[in-house]
Amino acid sequence: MKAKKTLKYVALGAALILTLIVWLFPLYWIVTTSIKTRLDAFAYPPVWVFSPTIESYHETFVVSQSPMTRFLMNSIIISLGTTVLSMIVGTAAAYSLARYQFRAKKHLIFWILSTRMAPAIAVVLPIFLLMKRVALINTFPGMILAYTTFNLPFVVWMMRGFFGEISKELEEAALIDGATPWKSFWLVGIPLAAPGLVATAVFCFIFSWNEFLFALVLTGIQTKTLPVAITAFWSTSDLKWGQFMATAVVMIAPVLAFAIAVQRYLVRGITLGAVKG
Amino acid sequence: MASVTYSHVTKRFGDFEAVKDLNIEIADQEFLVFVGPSGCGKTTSLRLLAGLEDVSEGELYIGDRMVNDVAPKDRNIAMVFQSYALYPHLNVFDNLAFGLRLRNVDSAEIDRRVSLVAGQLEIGGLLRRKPAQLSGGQRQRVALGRAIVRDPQVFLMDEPLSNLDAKLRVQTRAELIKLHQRLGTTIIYVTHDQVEAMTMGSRIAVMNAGVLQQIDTPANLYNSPNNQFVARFIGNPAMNFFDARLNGAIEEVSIEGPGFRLKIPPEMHARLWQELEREIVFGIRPEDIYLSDRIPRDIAGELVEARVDVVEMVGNEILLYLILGESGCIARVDPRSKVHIGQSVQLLFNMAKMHLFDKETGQAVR
Repeated sequence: MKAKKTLKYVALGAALILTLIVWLFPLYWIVTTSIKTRLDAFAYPPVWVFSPTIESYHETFVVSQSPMTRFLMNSIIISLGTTVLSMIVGTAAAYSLARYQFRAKKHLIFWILSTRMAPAIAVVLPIFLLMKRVALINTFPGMILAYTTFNLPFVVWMMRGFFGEISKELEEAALIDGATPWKSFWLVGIPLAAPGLVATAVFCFIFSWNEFLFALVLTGIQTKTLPVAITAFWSTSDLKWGQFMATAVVMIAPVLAFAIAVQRYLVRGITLGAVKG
Repeated sequence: MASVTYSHVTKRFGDFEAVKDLNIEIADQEFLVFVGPSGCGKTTSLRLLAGLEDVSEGELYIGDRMVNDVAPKDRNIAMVFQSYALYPHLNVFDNLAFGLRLRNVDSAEIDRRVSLVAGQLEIGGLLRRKPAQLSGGQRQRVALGRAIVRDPQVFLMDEPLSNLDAKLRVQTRAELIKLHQRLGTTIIYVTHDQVEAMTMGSRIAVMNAGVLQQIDTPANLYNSPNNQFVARFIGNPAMNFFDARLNGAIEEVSIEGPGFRLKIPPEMHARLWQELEREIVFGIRPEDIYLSDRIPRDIAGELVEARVDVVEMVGNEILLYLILGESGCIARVDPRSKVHIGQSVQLLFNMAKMHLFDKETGQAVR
């Protein structure tokens, strides 16, 4: 009986290790290739033991007038911009949806969330035509607005759940103590929802940082972001693996770090949004 | 002047009427308790006064000022919530100072008032702690302190003792009564516990299903309930009720119920003989039922046969659960009584303390 149980655990452990290897291997490969010399990067069979070097990072980001640095800045500006805009507008909307009763509220909530359900490929062309009309193609405001179209409903969804978790009595106590509804929101609601605010902002940043389709269609050379720029490495001649992978690491690293830090809030926020009326 | 007046106040949530045509005048410095079962409208009535709900119909006054459209912050009231509602991200000092800071009171004055109130409530040593680091009793005192420090015209308290353990509840009840005497401010208190209501209020407003049943002093509510609901709600254990009928003639009116026939004292004949043949509910409190072998000298009444079902020894008395005919009833008897389950006993009903209610309307028949 005990032997059967041990066998079961061994089999389970082996399956888990195998799954981990399969999922983590690409990440391992990207990181190691980014710190290999050109020679090692192209070596076949692959080299498992090597001397690490940061020359790829240097060539990609530090060398003067390197375009990747500009694309990195574009990603930062656009991701930060849309995060700030979505958080400000979305948090205020979420608070009113969580706290106030008004006609057609349920329909409004559904409509806001439904915009998030639309696949990007279905809306990218109409958005392109709209932006061309108002001369927002290849501009930072244009990109920030485009990303806000899908970040905003997400913020509303998440923050409504977090605000719903805060006892209404706390804000009522503030109203009686002398606060206006705005002060009650600002002095009590916001501080108590702070962990949720941070987590939601990080997710907005991650979604925007990783976004490819809108960036491909709506950016030009001035506003190109990293996900689009990195595709330029993929050519049949002169494939700079080291720089390619270095760019990939710079793209992935902040997202990975943020995601690990806030992942439990994503589950919490989604389920809260589902349960609270 | 901090009197409070509810004038034909109604509150509707959609089609549901939570408070129906409430009319109460609360005098300055009075300690009024709203009491009733869950969903009776007592908390809604309090929240209407706080400004946390809008009045659907009627007028609400604090002093001479109609406050229907006045924001909570401008009503000069303070509230203690059932869950205390302490700001969890602020320490005790900041919780106490919150309202004062919103009103731009200068920091020296804030320090003075907070220190004074913290000293009175014995929470001076807790000022740097956050609410999560406090016990239930300490949190309750901080919630009280936050209300007191604002020096309001009216205190509102929504079941502030319900989260405390039994012993602390009794202790805090006494402290609240002393606080009322010291502050001399109008207090409006909501509770579902009739013992709390009876011990604390100068007057009690009993509510049921959004309707005010009776508002009176604790003694009057206990001795002269206006209807069966109030009679059942006030008093622990609750009053015993028997379906009965008034029989006889002007010279002898009696109550006939299942398993008993009781003569009504002569002084009540004149009033009741007009109600003959009427279907009534006969009520008698457990403490007005005596075992026949332990009848106090000055009590006279009618003897009734019953069987003992359960004996509960409480310490200072025995609670006897009895079967009388087909009905059950409870009696509070002398702790020295020697009774056992299944025993047949003779009970004396003190008819001078009897209550009669109309069977259909529940109103008292006097």
